[in-house]
Amino acid sequence: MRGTGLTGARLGAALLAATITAGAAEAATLRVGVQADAGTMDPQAQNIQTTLTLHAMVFDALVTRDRQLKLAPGLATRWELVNPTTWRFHLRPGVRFHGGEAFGADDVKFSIERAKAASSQFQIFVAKIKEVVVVDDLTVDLVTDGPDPLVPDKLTYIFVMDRGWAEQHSVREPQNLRTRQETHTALNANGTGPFILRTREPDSRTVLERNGSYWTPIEGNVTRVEWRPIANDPTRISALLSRELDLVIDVPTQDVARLQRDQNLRVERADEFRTIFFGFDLKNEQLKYGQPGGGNPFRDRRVREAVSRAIDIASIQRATMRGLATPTGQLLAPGNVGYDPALDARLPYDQAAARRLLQEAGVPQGFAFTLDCPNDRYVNDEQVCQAVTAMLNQVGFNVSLNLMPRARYFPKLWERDTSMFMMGFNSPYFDGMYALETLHMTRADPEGIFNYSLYSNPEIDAMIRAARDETDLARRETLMKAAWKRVTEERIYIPLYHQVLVWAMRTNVVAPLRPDNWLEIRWVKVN
Amino acid sequence: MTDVLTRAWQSDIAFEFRRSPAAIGAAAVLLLFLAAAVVPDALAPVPVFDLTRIALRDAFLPPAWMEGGSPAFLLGTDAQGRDLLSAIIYGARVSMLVGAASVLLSVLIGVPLGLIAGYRGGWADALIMRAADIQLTFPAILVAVIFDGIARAALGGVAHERLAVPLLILAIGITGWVQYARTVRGATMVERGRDYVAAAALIGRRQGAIMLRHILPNVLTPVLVLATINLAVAIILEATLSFVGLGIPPTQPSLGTLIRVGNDYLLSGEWWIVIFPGIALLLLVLAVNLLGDWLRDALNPALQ
Repeated sequence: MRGTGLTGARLGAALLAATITAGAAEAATLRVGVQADAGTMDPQAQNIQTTLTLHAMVFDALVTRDRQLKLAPGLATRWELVNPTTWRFHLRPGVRFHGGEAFGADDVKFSIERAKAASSQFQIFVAKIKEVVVVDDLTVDLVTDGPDPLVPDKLTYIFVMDRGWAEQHSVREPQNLRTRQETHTALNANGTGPFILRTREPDSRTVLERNGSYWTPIEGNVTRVEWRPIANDPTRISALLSRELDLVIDVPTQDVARLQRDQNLRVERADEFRTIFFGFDLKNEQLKYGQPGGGNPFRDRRVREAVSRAIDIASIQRATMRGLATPTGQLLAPGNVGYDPALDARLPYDQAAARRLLQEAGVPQGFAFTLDCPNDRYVNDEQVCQAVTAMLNQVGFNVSLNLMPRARYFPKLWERDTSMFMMGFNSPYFDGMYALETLHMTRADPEGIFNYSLYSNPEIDAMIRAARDETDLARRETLMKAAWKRVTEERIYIPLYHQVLVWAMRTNVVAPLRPDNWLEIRWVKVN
Repeated sequence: MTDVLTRAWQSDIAFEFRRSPAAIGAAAVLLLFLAAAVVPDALAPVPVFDLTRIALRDAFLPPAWMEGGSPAFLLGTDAQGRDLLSAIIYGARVSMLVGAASVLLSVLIGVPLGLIAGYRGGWADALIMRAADIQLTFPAILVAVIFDGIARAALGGVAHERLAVPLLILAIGITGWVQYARTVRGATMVERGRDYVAAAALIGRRQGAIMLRHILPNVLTPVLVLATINLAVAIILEATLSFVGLGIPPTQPSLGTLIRVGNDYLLSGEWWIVIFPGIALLLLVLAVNLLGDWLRDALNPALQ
């Protein structure tokens, strides 16, 4: 966080200087290399950071963030609390969609309601909004079910679509990725954003061109974006080295040292708000991918603690992550509301203690199960899972590793079709409540929407609810810390580390890093 | 026994062999790989598939002769702390197994079909040769991709991983039969007109017996040469498929898988993770090819 602030300030100064001397008139193309493509162009179908980053170029939300990550006006010029359960948003006049349609309150109502649909992955952001009332064409009231101080923060994730366009192309509901539905929005987008989608070739190339009639001057000078997913690490890095790419936002850890030595490149890093952790099936009496008749030993807290103690995190940090990871004992990164430094210490790596815990739990011989891992989602996910598989086998478990690409991995998690899994999680709007609500509460969508372990504990649910509904911010934070302490000690999940974010770019590119790994295209400058 | 050995030593083929340094060298390299395939435990310093024996602590150690290397790991270690020499020995074993078994499968399919097509002629010939033409439009890589896709969907990740080796053998083997069928068909058509075949038919031997007992031994020489050369092709094919992630999974790596995994570290300075498996693959394929070439020349009287 500290590092990022500094970077931001420096970049801001550089940008200002550049704007004064050169102006921002000349055309510039930015070719962005990413590990995996966005799964769709539907703005409410896939809540993955890469997807959000691409969509934010085409779409706008009512609220956006400034360089200090504070809330800033987007499609709404201002907002206020009319009464404890009603937020009023005043919309920006004169905005047009890329297709020429005028933007208005109707579109906002449509988009928020669309985000509440069953196939949406953004339900959690709008769940507390009970009703969207169109006051006039440029004013909407959002009526919440109980007070919700975070409505503007949550709306930074709700991109606005044109209602008429959506109805014309029968995409009133978000594309359902679980059923592999194909809709018009899979390849097409009509937003108000700073860039217009020109070409969409999934997994290969997406081309965007600057929106000449954007509602505000764009600070950066990029006129054309080429979005290039390249799955293979060396290929992606070679493309950057050979000047085929200008910016890579998924830099493999092993190449950081080499890229730093390159005179034509600049490597920037920041502590990312993303925690990598393991979860377990905590509901079924019998592990689906476990020993037949072996029951589900993961339901015993001691077994989960044994898993935690069996992991040699120092070696993972040093060898696999090359130092680009901060080991942690809790599922929340520093800088988020609710973060507690006291919970950051992991249980020490101790194979003997792990074996002893297994003995106490009545499974002295360990047991067999399958660990599911993605191989193209998180930094070094495949290598970390391989290493952990070996480590768990060393204390007596008999682990089979099941690696797969994210396109198959996440649908499997959505179906809760797993016995142990890897996941990475960052807190949007820099607040620990999101992770508490979505990962730890009993599943009743949108509560517990990412609770793939199917964990259910009414006592913990009550603690989280109490914190969530508290309007006094100081008291809310105290309650949240208590909830975090409880879920951490319960070892519902086994956190590993926070990722360190690394971007590499050519020296003529100025792209400010955000700790949530969001590339804000409006700030990017190519000299 | 000694009589047999003496006769073998004095045979034309042994004479040819002694005269060719390339063949001797290739055979020596191949013998080494064969030993690795038969008794890997005796040769490999560490049983690399035993997950309880590898430690991430040892990851990325350079070869023993370089600074920071450890004498316990002669060729260094990979990203998981596995001994690279051991991984190559076990990997070569998988590569050779897949190569040899898929060639055998091709021979077992191709030779009988070629015999039937060549001996029976007519509609049987037409049918088999058209099937061969169709088969040629499906390159091995395509068939392997289809097999892989179906197997993954039908079996799921872990079961698919266990069956990866047989599946790969099937995919490579099933596409290779055409060459054998065509070669054997041609040779059989020549042999069919010979007097000894007519004589066998005259004394009332059945067609199947004539094909197997009389014609087959006379058409096997080109099959032997072809099989040797195709062994190298099959090993490369296996490596290619594993390199693109369609072959052997990293939990029981073949040489191709080792190269794929190591490729990630090519730019970052840990060159040994990809270079040594690459050299091993090169040596293996070169040895098989040299031996195949030599065999072809040695068995072809027209070249002598």
